[in-house]
Amino acid sequence: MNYNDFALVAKSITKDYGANRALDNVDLFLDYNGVHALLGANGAGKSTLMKVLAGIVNEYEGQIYLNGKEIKLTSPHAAMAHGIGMVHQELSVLPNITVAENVYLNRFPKTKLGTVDWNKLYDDCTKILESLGLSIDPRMMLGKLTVADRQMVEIAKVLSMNPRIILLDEPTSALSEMEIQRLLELIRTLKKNHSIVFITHKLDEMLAVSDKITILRDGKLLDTIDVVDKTNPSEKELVSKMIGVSSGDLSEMFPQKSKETGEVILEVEGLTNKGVYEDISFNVKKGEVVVFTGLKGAKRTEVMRAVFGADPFTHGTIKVRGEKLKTVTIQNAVKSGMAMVTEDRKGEGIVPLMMVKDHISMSTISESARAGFINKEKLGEKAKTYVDKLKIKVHSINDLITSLSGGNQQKVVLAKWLAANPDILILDEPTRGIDVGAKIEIYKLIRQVADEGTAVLVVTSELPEAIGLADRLYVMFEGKMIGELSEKDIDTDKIMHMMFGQRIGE
Amino acid sequence: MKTNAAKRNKIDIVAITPVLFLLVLVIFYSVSTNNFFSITNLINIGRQISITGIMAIGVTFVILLGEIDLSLAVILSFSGMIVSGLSLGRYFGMNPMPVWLCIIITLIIGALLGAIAGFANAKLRIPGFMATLAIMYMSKGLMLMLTDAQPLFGLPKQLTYWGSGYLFDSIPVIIVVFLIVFVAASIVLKHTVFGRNIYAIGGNAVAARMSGINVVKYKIIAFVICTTLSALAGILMVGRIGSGQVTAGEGLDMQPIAAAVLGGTSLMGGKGTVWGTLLGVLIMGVLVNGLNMLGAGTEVQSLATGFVLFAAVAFNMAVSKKNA
Ligand SMILES: Nc1ncnc2c1ncn2[C@@H]1O[C@H](COP(=O)(O)OP(=O)(O)OP(=O)(O)O)[C@@H](O)[C@H]1O
Ligand SMILES: [Mg+2]
Repeated sequence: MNYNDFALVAKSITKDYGANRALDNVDLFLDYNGVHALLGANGAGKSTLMKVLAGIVNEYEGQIYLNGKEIKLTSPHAAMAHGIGMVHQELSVLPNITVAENVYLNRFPKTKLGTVDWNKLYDDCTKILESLGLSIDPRMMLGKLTVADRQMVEIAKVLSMNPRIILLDEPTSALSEMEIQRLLELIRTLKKNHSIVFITHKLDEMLAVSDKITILRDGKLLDTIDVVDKTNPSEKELVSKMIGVSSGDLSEMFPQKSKETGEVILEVEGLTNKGVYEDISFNVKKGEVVVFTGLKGAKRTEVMRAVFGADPFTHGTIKVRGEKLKTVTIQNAVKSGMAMVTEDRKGEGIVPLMMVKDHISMSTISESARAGFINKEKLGEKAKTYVDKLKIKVHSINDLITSLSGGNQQKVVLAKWLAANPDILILDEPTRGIDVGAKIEIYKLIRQVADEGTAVLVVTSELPEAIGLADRLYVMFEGKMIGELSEKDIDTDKIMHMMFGQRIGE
Repeated sequence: MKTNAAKRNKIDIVAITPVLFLLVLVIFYSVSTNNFFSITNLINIGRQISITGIMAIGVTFVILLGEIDLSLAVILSFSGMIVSGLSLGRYFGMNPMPVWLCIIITLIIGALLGAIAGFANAKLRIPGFMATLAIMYMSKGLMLMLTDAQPLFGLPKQLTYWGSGYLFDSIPVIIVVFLIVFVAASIVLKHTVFGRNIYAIGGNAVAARMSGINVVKYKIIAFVICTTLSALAGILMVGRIGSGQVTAGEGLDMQPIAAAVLGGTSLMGGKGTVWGTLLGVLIMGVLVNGLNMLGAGTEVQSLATGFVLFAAVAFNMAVSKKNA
């Protein structure tokens, strides 16, 4: 093959982390224009391959050719200079400076005096945000934005550097349906004169925009397939290649819903935080899976955080087992049997320096202790149980959490709360960044804990997930409760209307 | 198998290097001086490092949270004056109190100062740097008001015993106290819920809070441990110098912090051990003691300490970067 015919060729890339081979002799051929998708289970090596191309991982074996010439990518800076830009799976933008500063970090426009030209900075930023169809104020502190908006800022940041090759590592995992469509539209435009690598666990997205799909399994290259149209290759074919066994029918992705539910265990009435959300009432019964859906900005996360005691609210009551919680703090919520998996994994879920086993027992450490002293065996056993149960890919329970792939980190965070055997389990975007195989397992797990009597609240923006999981469903729009649908009333059209703020029957 | 071997190697470099460095120092001094490697001198070193060591262990708890305590040295002096004055009945026209009671009161006052700093830090969200700096000035002010900066002599034997007495006529009590503090602290950090939660909070306070950990409570306790140990160090110091001096803590403000960091505790929080802190204290103590024996003056000692700190921390950073 002539390497000149490709924008970039990665040849025989091998990367070891200690004794763990993350990439094993992988080749990747990127066309000058077009979208090349990477598919693989959690931990397959997708992010690692991207990091090699972005100069972040710079100790590896193999060669990289840009326009036919071999190059050395020794740092992110070098990669950028070669026109390679990467949007990371984990958010890497800085919360304590403005949006514009994030976008143009280290590349601020200057005045004649050499000081920062703030007006130009904000103008430039507004332009680039608008070109992405975003109405974010560039003067805003980034930390005030939702996860979805931060993700878009991260994309804006990379695009502002005018790269030739754009690496997108799960850019859609934090976005809601509408934003995803917008991003896919943007990718379609960009691919006309850019070479794009696109990682996603959502097959429909992948088939919608990609021209080629490369499948990785356990660090090895399995196959590169041309995409003919949206249904060729089929999702089924892709999944079976990726997991290695022929998977059952994808329509069986969601387990049977529960037939019986118990009494109401959590009841929220008139919950209000002036200016954020107003008069939110809902309840959950034992053994029931209740889904909260809506567009981003619907304030579902904010409501859940308030119920869990993480943020204050101005009015309203929260009753658990019929009893009103007097002071709503996280400790009291946990004592009353609540647990919450947050949506911002990096910021609120993991402690980078801690081992997998310590994470799993983070909320329940007292159970593995007597009089304050930890029983190491018990703690280790518990960790092992959950590593097996959730099929978390680790080499040992002593691995640092940061050495796991994104999807596996998410599983560890889930395990932390499952270990607490909660009566009320709140899951905010629980399958974010999780591969199809693991998703099915997590759906099973959700149903299993519900069948054991736990009340489960799931916040999700993915419609198929919402519909597939819900015994009952609430839809919110811009801080207001739009309505409630029981199992038999759930239907895509209805939900779509409600998501845009229309009450049913109006 | 290969995994284990690889892991072991990795851990070894970080853990072993300070030990090796300490060994090299000891061997070098043993060869180049006559008296370094003698029981008398080794015990002497033990006595010299005990006070810094106790403070360093205390401040390790606070540094693990990603915070800092600047009030250590003043609390040491202040506690020394309190315990001395109470035992002599110098304040507010009170009668001399029994020594055990003086010690308890002093430790309680030390704990209170930490509780205030911890509360300010955890609840009022004042950075530890400022909170403890404020406590430092307040303590200094109170101490000077109380004592008029006058030294206190003629202390009861039961009090000075803790800093200068001997167990079985041979083992200095001060070293025994230090070892007890060391063992207790390492057990607490390694084997208790409290200890593990300190690491979790230091690593990511938000994630810890969202896991239901009472961050405010743990932070306050960590500061209390730190200042109480400084108060204990103050009580021992009184024995070592044989009098209550308002200047007792001079030069000790940063030494314990330096020792903890030298031992691998990260100023960013979430990483470090008491064992490392002990090594840090030993390295600094041995370095200075040996130079002393070689006849080097304080200027050389200071210079050497600076170099060692610089090199050790640079080394730690290089290794941890490589492992990342
Ligand atoms: N810094 C690291 N140290 C050690 N091992 C690592 C490190 N980063 C990644 N790995 C390992 O390399 C393998 C590949 O990880 P990678 O992040 O590339 O997976 P991925 O395909 O992107 O998965 P996901 O879909 O979950 O994001 C995993 O087994 C992971 O544990
Ligand atoms: Mg990844």
